[in-house]
Amino acid sequence: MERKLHDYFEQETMPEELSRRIEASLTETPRAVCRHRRVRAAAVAASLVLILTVAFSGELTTAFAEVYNFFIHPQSPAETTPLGRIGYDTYVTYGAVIDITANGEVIGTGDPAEVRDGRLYFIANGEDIDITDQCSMDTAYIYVMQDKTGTLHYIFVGGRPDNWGYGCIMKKPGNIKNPEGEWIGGGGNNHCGKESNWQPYGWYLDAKERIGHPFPV
Amino acid sequence: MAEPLELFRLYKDDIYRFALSYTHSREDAEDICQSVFEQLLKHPAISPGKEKAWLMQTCANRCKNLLRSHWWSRTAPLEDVHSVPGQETDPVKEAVMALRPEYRAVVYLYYYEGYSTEEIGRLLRISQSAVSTRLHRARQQLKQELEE
Repeated sequence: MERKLHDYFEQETMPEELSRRIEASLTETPRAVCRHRRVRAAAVAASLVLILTVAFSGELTTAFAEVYNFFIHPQSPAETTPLGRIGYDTYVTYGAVIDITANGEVIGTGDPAEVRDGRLYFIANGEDIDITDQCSMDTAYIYVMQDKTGTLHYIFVGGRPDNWGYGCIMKKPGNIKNPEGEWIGGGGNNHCGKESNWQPYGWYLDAKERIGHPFPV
Repeated sequence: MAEPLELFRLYKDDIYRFALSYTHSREDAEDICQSVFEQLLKHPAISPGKEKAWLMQTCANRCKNLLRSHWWSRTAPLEDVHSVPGQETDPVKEAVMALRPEYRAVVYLYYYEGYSTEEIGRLLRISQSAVSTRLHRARQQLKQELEE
């Protein structure tokens, strides 16, 4: 088994494109690096302004109702990490506000659920549904919505009011752009940041099974 | 400390493999690699001979942070990480990827990098006994998966 594991890991090498990109960034002059940082900081500031503008204009839940959230990381304030791009340009701004955009437009910020008076409520997409009795550590509450691009968003919540988590899986019917086919992505939170290591809870597996998501954890 | 570019060329694959093993996501691994090596520029005073340990530890911290902040952001292709129905799969890869992230990290560091459990403990900032437990459980799971 040791040999097999070694051989398996050995196969993986850094992609050439990434290697070139990092080499280029390492050979940038300090002045250039600073400039790059300033541009990034400006981009972050612009995105925050955009989020606040959208949020206060009240369009958040009407024009783009999808509500996702990634928790703020306390140890890396002001750090922006790109999470991926496939139709969805997704960015997390640690230490400040969270910004999720779809096709260049902000689609949401905030948790899809909240606890009030010891009850768990699903609040994404302008809903206010008491789901306390519809989910448990082994069962998920699943909410499905379709955005204007036709992408289906499965938002699911599981656990108890004192220990809950959520996830979202995106499916674009007819998509053949990548080997994952119609399943184009997802995101979520591990029990509201209470636990540092993700593990597949029963509610998560239940949601995946009921949604029909074919990939492993 | 050696020049950042020199360190990059020397350790880029190790850091990439570690990040990939830990995060289970090519895109996350790429982002983490980039931030780890960029971080080198901000820390020009790493003790000579300790550069790899510093890189691995920084990488581990980034991976942990990422996994803590979200658990499976997959908005980008994972063509080589996930198995695709109908495609031939590597049983070892499947078995490794079925492990929990913290187990995969320990397995990688132990079996590929050849670190001792004590060194892994220092690197991941966990106790040596926690490393041994994770290794033991990972081995059991791998054995079971590979025998099936």
